Amino acid sequence: MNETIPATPAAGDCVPLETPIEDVKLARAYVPVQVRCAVFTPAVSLTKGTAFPPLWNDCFLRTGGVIDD
Amino acid sequence: MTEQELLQKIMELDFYIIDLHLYLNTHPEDADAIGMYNDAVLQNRDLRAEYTQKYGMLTSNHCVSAVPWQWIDSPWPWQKAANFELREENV
Repeated sequence: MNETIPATPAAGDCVPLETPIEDVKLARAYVPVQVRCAVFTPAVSLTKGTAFPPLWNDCFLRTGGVIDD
Repeated sequence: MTEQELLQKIMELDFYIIDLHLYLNTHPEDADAIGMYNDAVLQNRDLRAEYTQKYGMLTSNHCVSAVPWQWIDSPWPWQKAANFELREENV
């Protein structure tokens, strides 16, 4: 009985992890550093899904889930 | 506190601790946040001990039990007693 699991399936069954694309520009992403200010109370944090006011976006509540461009 | 009030406080602190934990992973020098995290963990520990003493086991593997075995008397996750509407305070 085999006691190990092969790290990868047979080569012929593999799906490439990355599909090479050509003639496109690379995208860049920027993630600003979080700056802590006041935090929600634990009770409010649980209802809003975050303890940090800057990370809470109520636009879905204000618009009923519809965002206009 | 009633069982439900106690359970809600524990759930609130559980979430609060997770969120501060995630923040501290990227801000390990923030002493104020570490203080808030530590306070919340200690408060949660006390509330969990109080809940276990009064109402039984919160988790199956990390709580002591009185006799008879208390785990089977706790509300199961799908029962109404374990599902209640959250109250917002201080909004």
